[in-house]
Amino acid sequence: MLSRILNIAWKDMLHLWHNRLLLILAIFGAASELLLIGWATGSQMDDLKMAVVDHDQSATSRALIEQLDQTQTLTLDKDASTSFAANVEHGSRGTALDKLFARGNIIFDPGPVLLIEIPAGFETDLLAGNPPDIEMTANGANSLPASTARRAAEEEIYAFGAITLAQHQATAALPSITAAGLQTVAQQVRQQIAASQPPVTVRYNEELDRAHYTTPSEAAFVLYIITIMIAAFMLARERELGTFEQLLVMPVRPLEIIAGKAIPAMAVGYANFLLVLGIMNVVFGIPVRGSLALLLILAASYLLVELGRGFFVAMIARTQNQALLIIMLIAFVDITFSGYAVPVESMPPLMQALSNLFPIRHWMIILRGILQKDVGLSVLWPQIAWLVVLGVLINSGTLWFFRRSLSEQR
Amino acid sequence: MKARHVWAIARKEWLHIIRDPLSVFLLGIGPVLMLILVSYAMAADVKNVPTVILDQDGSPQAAALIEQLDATQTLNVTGSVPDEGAANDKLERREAKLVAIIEPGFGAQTQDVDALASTDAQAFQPHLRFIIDGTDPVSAETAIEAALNESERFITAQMNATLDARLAAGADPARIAALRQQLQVPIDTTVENRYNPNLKAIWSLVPALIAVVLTLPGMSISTVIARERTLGTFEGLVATPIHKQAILLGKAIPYMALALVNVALMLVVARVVFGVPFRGSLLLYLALSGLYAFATLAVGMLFSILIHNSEAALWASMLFFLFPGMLLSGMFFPVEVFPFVVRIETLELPVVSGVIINRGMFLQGTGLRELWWNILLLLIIAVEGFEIAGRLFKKRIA
Repeated sequence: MLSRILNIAWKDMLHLWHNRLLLILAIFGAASELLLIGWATGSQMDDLKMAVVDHDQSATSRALIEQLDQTQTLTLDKDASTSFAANVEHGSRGTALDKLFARGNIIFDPGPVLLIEIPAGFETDLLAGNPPDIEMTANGANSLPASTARRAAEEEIYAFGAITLAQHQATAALPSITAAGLQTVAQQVRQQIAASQPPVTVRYNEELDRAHYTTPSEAAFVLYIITIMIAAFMLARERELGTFEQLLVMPVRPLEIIAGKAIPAMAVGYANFLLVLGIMNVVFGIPVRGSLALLLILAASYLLVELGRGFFVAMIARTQNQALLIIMLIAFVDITFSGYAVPVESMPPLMQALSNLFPIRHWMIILRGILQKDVGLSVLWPQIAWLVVLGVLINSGTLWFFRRSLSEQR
Repeated sequence: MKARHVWAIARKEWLHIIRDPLSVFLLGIGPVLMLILVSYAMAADVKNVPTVILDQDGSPQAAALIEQLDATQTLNVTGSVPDEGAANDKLERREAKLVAIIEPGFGAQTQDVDALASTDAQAFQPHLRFIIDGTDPVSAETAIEAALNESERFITAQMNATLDARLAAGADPARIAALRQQLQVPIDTTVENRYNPNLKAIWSLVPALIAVVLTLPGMSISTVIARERTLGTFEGLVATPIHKQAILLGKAIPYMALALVNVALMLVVARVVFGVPFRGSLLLYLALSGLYAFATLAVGMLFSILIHNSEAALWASMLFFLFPGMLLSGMFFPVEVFPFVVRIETLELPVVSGVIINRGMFLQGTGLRELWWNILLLLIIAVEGFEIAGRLFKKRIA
């Protein structure tokens, strides 16, 4: 039996080898895409542009603008600020805002994400102890950078207000206070603000680096989608070309055909996974905190589950093109339920329940758990149990389906 | 290139598609189904983050804080733990993402208004700290912000109440006012979120997703020439007196028609099912969607001609459309903040412009004046894609 399986595997290996372009694309394409995605999403949101309108024109308001400009997150966009002010004068505020925020060319000319308006009488009100009201308008069409900018601005405005007040009081108490003395006051206030915040410890991804979230997702996809694709296409192609019948008349059992075809698909998928894991570790510094051996074993087992789905697709599809469309749709659903962009815990309860039926959901938990949390079998066993159940169901279903379509063909 | 020829090829390709009911189904309403399912699942704003409490204080104030944390939309207090080891265990098992540790003396501290006058920074240190699971940075940041805001509001309210009580008990009003000054926020800020006042995730997700799922016909066309080669019908095609560009154009037309049907359906779904506003010009939107679909088809066609093998063509188009569609398109992560090199790289991805156009027309009501740059990019991709495909496409049997 083993030799027959290996024969089929060898045949398909040759097929793949003659189709070297696919191998090259599969392995290097996936690797370069991982790099791109890691670099893109891992970048800190620094130097977000803001536009400022200063109705007060006082020394204090100018100092505030300078403080905001000096934060790491925010940068003052002077041109946008002046043209916004001019547009408000000549037209309505609405059109001026649209001109400020609605931009198409975000590659060379990303516009401001936040507009800050300092009211007239800012300085007098602040020093008199009546909190002035600074109005901010954020570009809600792209909320992630807008909220980051807003958060940074609010923090800095708070600190600036507290420092200015404290310095004002210090000057009132001691008119001869030196610049260095004022500096000390500012430092004290900053320390106070820092101290009054409850400390937050971030675990597992200490820098809150987004690349540590997105690259494992990408690695999981590479592992599974290449496996599904190769499995589905090898079978779909045989059916489309009619060589499937030749396979059937050979003295091999259905299970052996499936197993033989599984080996090359797994080999390519697994090689890809190893490469991607290496890149993640070396380039993006994502540690493997748990047991590497456990990870490698579980990755192989996970592949077995997904292979079943790949063959299942090939069973439903009559042509490669149908297989392609089905895989596409499956991939979209899998991406959703893997918690790729939005954690599954935040989804509606129905969707959360549904997500358990998708093997990738459990695989992502395992992968992230072993990479970042150093957890082992004692924590991951429910996920492994799910994978086993799903694997048995999917694979026996596929085999049943395969046998049935064989008897139809005969 | 004659119109009659293009039309004949288009008809042939159309028959190919509609005689394959599964493909009609998948291409015809697949994108709409995806839009509904993915939006419904992913548009969840970060909420109900499972939170456990380690209460070492046991004061009534601690209990009140726990209640207040639980009352937020973002956090959901699921239980309490006896010590930090148990809290760690909860984090590892993903039963909790946030741990709030209320240290001994928290309750007394919230009543200790005299500390406000202190110049020692340490006096301000609250007996409260948090541990957060940072695995998913976006939801971690949201949860931290909610926890910090809520606890700060709680402490301020407690102290104000204590000051009120002291004032009523006959304390020196000047001193109370001075202490109250310490609690006051020096500068108020108000924030208006333009285009999406409540920052609903679904409003920014749905328009972007429409652009992403509309790449499906583009991916599908990438195997169209390769398929003719594998099936042997390529020879028949080569033998026709039809100009090669007419063949390519004719093959794209049915996919284009399907894409436009999809656009119309998705527009209705976005408005009716998800209640996303549409503020731009409908006519312009349909024209630009057509252009966008054409650009993705041109790229798909290019893959189809460059790569003779359908699996490799498919994988190439997946690498080009599917993965970048999710992460590099700007749907979740803003393109503006990518490193410059990656931003340049995204110039070749039609989906980036598609997302900008869709968001602009749905939410911002933008028109040609703001979008000309993206329209230009799409035009270049569409025209160049087709031109290069035409040049590389040889009516010859290798």
